[in-house]
Amino acid sequence: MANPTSTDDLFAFWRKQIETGTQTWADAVKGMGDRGQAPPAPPDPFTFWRQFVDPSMSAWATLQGAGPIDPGILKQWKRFLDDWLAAWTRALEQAMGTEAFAQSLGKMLDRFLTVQGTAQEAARRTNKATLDALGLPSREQIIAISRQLADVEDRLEAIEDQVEALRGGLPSTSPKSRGRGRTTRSGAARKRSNRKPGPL
Amino acid sequence: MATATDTKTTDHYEAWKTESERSIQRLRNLADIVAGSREPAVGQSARQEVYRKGKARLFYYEGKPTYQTPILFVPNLGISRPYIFDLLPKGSFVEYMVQHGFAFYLLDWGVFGPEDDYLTLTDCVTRILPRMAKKLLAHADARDCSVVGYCMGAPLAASFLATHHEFPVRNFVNLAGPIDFSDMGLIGCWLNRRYFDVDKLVGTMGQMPAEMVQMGFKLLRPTMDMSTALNLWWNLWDEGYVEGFRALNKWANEYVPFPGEFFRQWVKEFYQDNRLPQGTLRLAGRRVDLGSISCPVLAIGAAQDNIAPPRSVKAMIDLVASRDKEYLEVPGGHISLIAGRSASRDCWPHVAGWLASRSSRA
Repeated sequence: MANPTSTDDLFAFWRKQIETGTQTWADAVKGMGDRGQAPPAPPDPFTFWRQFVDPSMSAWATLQGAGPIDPGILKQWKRFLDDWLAAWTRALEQAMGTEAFAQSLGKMLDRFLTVQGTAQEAARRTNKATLDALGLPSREQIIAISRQLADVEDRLEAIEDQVEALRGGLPSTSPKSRGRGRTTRSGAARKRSNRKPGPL
Repeated sequence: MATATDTKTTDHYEAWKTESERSIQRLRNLADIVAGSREPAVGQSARQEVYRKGKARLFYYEGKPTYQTPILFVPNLGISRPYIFDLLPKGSFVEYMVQHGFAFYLLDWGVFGPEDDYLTLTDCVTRILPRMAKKLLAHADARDCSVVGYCMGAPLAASFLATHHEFPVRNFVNLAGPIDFSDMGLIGCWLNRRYFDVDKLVGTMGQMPAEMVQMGFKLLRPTMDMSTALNLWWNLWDEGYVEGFRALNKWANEYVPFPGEFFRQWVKEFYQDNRLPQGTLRLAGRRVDLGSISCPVLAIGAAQDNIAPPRSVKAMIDLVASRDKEYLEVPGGHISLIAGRSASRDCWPHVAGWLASRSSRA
């Protein structure tokens, strides 16, 4: 490619380089997983990127010597970085969307859980012994109380439903019954603002 | 008379001067952010708690409704906090809907601890949602309501509609809620039953911890932090941008764990078995048949959504029996559908307009 002569050309040139480089890198990583073989030594990133970065730096140096820098270069620089990130995002998404990546992620999680399980069980036993010695309730006991409270809440709601059902069968004693027409919206709004939180 | 070269030099000078001033402002705002001197004020719309069940709470946002049909908003459970829907004044979905005359009720599922590990998806759909919906009708003094589900809240709410036909739902809106999980992109690939052992995770951890939820989402878009930092630096001179960043950044770093049993059921029945669109999902003995939903349905997908790909959202339209149904695809991602400038331009007006034409006036 000929040396770029304007900042626009330079960024177009860099963008192309970055996209090509990122895609090549992603293909290399993806290829390793797809083959299902022992992965070869990864490409040396310095050697890999030099082929793209060196021409860009040389073009940048040429441009620097050409005269005063256009202030628009900052916007172009930002655009260049956005493009660079977008290219990496696409490449990483491709690499992470493979079966090989999902498999390695699953294995990593499995190993973590195996270690974590053993550690948690040991910590649980120690904590329980300590809390027993101090006469304090264990985590399991507190959780059991929480579940009991939730059950009580459910029963209260069931009773509330039954009371409402029974009320539904009786003539309304409420000053505002549905038979007398719907509350206007402003009335309903007033009612809301006066109402306390509902029963627990 | 000024020459073209002089004009160009002056322009360059002005442009560099502006840039220098911005850079000074950037440094000031950066120092402010690093010092953490200003806590972003989020969720400022006036509201009151209407009902509480376990950790779940139903909130009513105060306003002067002009429609008789209230809205029950069902967000995702776990992952993140619901103040994203009321992030900042003039940048809030809740505020927008209230200002457009709707009585708005938000179901906040809560922040879960180990005591909630036993909470199942079935509990949420068959115990919590019906109770909250009933309390909403009583509080609003309404005969029916519209249900709006966002993200995971949409399949949960759709399951509620499909199993509680007696409940008077007038309209249903699915905002970026996956219905067909057959092709869920990266998340679907990672949660594949061949690689992801959800039983072992729940058995070991009890719940899906917030840290693991965070790791999963960071992995989904590894360049997100760099991109956020870059955009922040670029816009750091702009006070409005910085205010929005503070609020969004606070939200984006407050992850919420999943209750263990809920997560197990969510992954197995939705992601791994994809039961919802097939009609094979059963909750508390009731078959979840989306074909039994006949109210007007609006589904909105985001074109670049990598959490709920648009095709997974659109599937709802093919499955419901409704005659009045519509699918809309807007540009942007999962969050930009509900928060930010693009949401207020592309999504909120459509939701409000669609509901307005299908709600009773007071």
